[in-house]
Amino acid sequence: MRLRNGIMAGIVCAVMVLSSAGLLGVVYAAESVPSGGTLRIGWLQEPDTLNPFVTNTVQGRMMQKVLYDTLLMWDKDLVPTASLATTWTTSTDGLTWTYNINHNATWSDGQALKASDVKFTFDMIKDLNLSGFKDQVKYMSSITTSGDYQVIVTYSEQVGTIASDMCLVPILPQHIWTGMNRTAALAATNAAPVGSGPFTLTSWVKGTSVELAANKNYWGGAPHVDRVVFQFYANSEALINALRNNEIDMIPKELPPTSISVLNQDTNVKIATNVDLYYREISINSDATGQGNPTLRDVHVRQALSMAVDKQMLVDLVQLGSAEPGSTIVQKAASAWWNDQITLWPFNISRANELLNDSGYLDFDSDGIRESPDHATEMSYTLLVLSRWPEEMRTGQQIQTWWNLIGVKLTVQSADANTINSFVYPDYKQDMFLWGYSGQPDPNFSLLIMLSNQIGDWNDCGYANTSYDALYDQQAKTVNMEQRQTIVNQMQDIIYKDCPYIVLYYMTAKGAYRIDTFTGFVNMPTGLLSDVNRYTLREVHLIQAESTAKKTDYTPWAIAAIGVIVALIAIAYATMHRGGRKGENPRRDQRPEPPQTK
Amino acid sequence: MMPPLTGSKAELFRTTRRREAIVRYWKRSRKTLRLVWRSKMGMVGLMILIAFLCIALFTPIFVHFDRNAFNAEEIFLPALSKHHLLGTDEVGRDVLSELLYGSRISLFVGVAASAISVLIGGSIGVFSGYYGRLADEGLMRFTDIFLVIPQLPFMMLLAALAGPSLQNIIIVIGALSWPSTARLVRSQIITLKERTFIERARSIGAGDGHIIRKHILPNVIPLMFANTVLIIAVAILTESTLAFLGLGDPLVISWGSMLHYAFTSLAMSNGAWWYFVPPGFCIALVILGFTFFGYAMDEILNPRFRRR
Amino acid sequence: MELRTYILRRAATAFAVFLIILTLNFIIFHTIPGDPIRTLFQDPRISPEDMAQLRHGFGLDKPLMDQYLIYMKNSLTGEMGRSFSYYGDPVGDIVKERLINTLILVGSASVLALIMGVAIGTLAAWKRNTKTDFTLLGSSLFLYSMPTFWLGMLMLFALSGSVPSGGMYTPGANYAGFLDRFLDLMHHLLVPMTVLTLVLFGQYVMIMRSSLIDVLSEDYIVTANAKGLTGKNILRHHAVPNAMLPLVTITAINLSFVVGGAIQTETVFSWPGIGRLMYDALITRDYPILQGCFLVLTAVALVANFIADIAYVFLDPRVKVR
Repeated sequence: MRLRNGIMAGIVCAVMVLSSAGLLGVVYAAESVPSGGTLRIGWLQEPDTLNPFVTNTVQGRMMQKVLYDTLLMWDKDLVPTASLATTWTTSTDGLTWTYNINHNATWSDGQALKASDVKFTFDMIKDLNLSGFKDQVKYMSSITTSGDYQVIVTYSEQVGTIASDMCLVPILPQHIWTGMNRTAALAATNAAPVGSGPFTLTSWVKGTSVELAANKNYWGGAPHVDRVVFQFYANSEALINALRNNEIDMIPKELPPTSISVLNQDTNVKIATNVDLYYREISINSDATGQGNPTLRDVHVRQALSMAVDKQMLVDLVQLGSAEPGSTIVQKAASAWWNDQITLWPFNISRANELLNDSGYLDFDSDGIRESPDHATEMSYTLLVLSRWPEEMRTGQQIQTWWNLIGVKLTVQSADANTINSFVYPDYKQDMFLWGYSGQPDPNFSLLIMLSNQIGDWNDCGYANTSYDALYDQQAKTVNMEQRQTIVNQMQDIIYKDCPYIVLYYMTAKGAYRIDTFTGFVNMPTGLLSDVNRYTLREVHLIQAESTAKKTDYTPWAIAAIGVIVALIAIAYATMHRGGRKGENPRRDQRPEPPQTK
Repeated sequence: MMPPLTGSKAELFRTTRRREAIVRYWKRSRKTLRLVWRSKMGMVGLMILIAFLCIALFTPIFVHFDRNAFNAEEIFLPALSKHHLLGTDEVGRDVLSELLYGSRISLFVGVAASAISVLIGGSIGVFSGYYGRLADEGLMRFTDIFLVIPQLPFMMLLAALAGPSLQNIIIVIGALSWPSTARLVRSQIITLKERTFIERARSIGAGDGHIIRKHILPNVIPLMFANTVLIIAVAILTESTLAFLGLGDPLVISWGSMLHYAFTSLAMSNGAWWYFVPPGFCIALVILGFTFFGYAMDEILNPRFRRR
Repeated sequence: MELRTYILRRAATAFAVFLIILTLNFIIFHTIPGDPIRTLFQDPRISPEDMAQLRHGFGLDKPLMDQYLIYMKNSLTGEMGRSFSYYGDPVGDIVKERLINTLILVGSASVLALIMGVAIGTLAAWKRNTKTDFTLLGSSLFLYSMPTFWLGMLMLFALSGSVPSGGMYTPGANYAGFLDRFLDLMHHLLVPMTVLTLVLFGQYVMIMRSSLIDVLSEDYIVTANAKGLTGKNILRHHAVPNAMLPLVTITAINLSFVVGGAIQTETVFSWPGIGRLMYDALITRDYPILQGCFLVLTAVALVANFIADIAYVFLDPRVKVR
């Protein structure tokens, strides 16, 4: 009897131990990466708004990507892959795409995300013609749902960019955005966004910080960190100091060039470099009906100006090597599309001079500045430099020196973005300005800005070329990758030869992060954190689990200290006031000091 | 009542008076200078100012500086490097030459802006104090408005709107620093007005302009001296602040713009103290010079102090 | 004239000045070139129809006079419009919060500067024309001559690593209690406040010193001395309180200059105050915020001047308002 009981007990114990071990194993495996902690990120510019249709800053778009989900998402090699849509199929004619939505997705207010939300989002953008995403839904002819988790999108014509388009459009909750007209949708502040993304917004103290909380129920796996804080710094000096002082853990992008050598010497900081989908250029007013200097409308003038800019020198001097010399308007990081076969304009002052001479631009009045062939206009231009990039004033000064050698007078002026925009739109009054363009892995947007139908919209130089426009429509509809690449290359060639932009450099995405608290930073093209890379925020985790020791509360100590001080003051006062009251005669041996009257 | 003088006798009388006036001024200046010599503060201030004036005037003769001579190899070279006593800046230019050239713009802007300011303030003060009553009330309310508007923000706004050029900065600073001068002049004129010689001049039939020119101004200008000196100091300080905030002319080298570029190019993080310490130190020294000198002059010229 | 009349008269003048400044505010910000709607929506993707719709929504298509009257009415009720760069956030809320932050910084610095100025000025005046006087005066003046932002840079450079790099609170901090948060604030306040104090107190030293010198030569001081009171006694009960009177008016007048110093300190130390708000708004051409800031600052200056005027009447026994 006892043996059987014993064996029974033994088996029960063994089962309990094994199952506990098993349970523990499961639990332990899930927490093999220490969770918790607050990731602190520093930046120099805040998002402009949380409204997905109006946001126009990199920071704003970053927020959109972590608060909301898209059907597809670029992976670490910039190839569209599954996101909210777990699988998708394409019809043989390529006009119908069917997406199967993840069953576990929920909105941050608790409601479940269904296919109806996807349909609603696309319908809303299309019906209200909402800016920001109208191009991505332009050719959708019908959107239907089949059950709660399947969306079927039919297109009216062939579109080559569907996969990357689906990486752009955030899926919005129907129950929040329903019933809005166009003005309401554009004017909405979206201050308490309801999204399905890996993070939710806790607070945004304007001018100080944005705080995000991890979405523990995220269908793609909860982020390991509990909170993310984006701290705003007014200048680069404070930002870099904050990183070195361990007040922040990461600077995602746009690391100031002069900080690199300093940070390299810090053993706790690592610099992450990668290609970025971003270039800076000089946009030359090529608008035939614009109000800029008319000599700039001559393509030979622009070509000569291009030949008088030494891009490598600017890379060395202004960007301290953290960039590459620019060429075409497709970002070099979009390596599948970037045309590396173009014949580059050489930096050659004498050839530039020759070209201007041959085109009839001579210095007729011998004042050192060339004039147009009809003597009417001087080749004297104003370059507006975005004030947010003080180092680019040096670029302007350097270009001024070079163009002086070819008989062109350049005035360099610092201006903020709004001022520049007010010159450009709607009348194109500028001569030229220094700007930057962020692109997507798909070259569609980068090419779009040169379309003639974008004048008054994304086209800020007034360039108009009907054959270019035709090629754009063609490539947009070409599904075959190689065929599309040929057309895109051709387009880049056209623009490069016509020089409405002098693309100065392709910036490298330079960020920095501390290695003593967190690990798991994802360094991919476009940088540690961008509107393409949200992997860092999802994957970063503490190196060591945070200690759960409670922080000391000093309140009782302070009350005691105040009490002691008050007591001391009272004693001092009482002691001091025992003698020498006003009006009393002092003792005889204390003669008063006469005030000095020198 | 004397008949008005005419003819050659009048001419002779006027020239004699003028000569006497000149002699009086000369004697007073000599006495003033002697008092300045005795005032240690005044002397120190004057020495500093003369030193900087010489630097500003003679720099172009001895120092050559090319604003566009960027050199990518020599960024942030430390002080006491070869050829660069104060090292180089973030684009490889010599900091010492920049510093010396910067003195010209900084001093020029200070003097020019204060000239505008003193002109405006003095005129308003004279007008307000002399004509009194309605003009006084109106102009003083006008002055009050300018005193209540926050000065630096308003200057920043005007500078940003007008555009970052040197003349705009000068005008902006001059147009907003005059209230103190106006008030000072006005209070002096009010006390002067009650003095008997004004009454006497008016009873002879002297016109307002004549009274102002011959009687009021000579008594007011010495008192404005100290105030003017301080206005120049404040103007230099303001220019450097505006330049530091990025609102100055970005292509002009001044001490303020050097500090602006030093700050934005992370000179502090890079330990390049030679880039940002000297310009600020020069500003402080020049201001100190003006303050000492102005203070000493105030003690000398202000009759209130002379009592003791 | 009667005290009540005086107060009323001063209040009326202050209010009139306020209205004039409001008008000036309006004129400046509405004659600026550039389309506010385009500024508001930097994004050139907004179509012309949308622009017209938004313009109507903001009331910008009304005639200028109507806009002016609406503006005046709104300003007097505290409604200051919506921000451009913070995309539609009410200006009043933003400005109010930042103003409090600035007052923390400027208030503590001013109080400290006043205390230091009175103490050092008294000492300098008492030991007039001795070496102590010259050293004190000289060093105070040298600190006063320094550009505020430069002093900030120097301190930041010298203390880098041991003090916060900027801001008001530690990013992402978890506070155990109110005191914890308060200590963090003090930790961040220390250096900016010191910078502002050092730059301010020099002027107070000068004024206190000359004022005290004046007072010490007055008759009633000589009388007190003859009565046999100690020097320190004379100072404490008679001279110093009277000498402090000019400081009252100066502090109020100084307010507009102190704001300038605050802008520089806030920029260098990333302090989220109204100075930095104005600077950022200037860069981004956020006119509603700029208007709001100007409004608030001028109102504060007017109130401070008014209080100083009234206080002076009560404090100075020589001023007769009867």
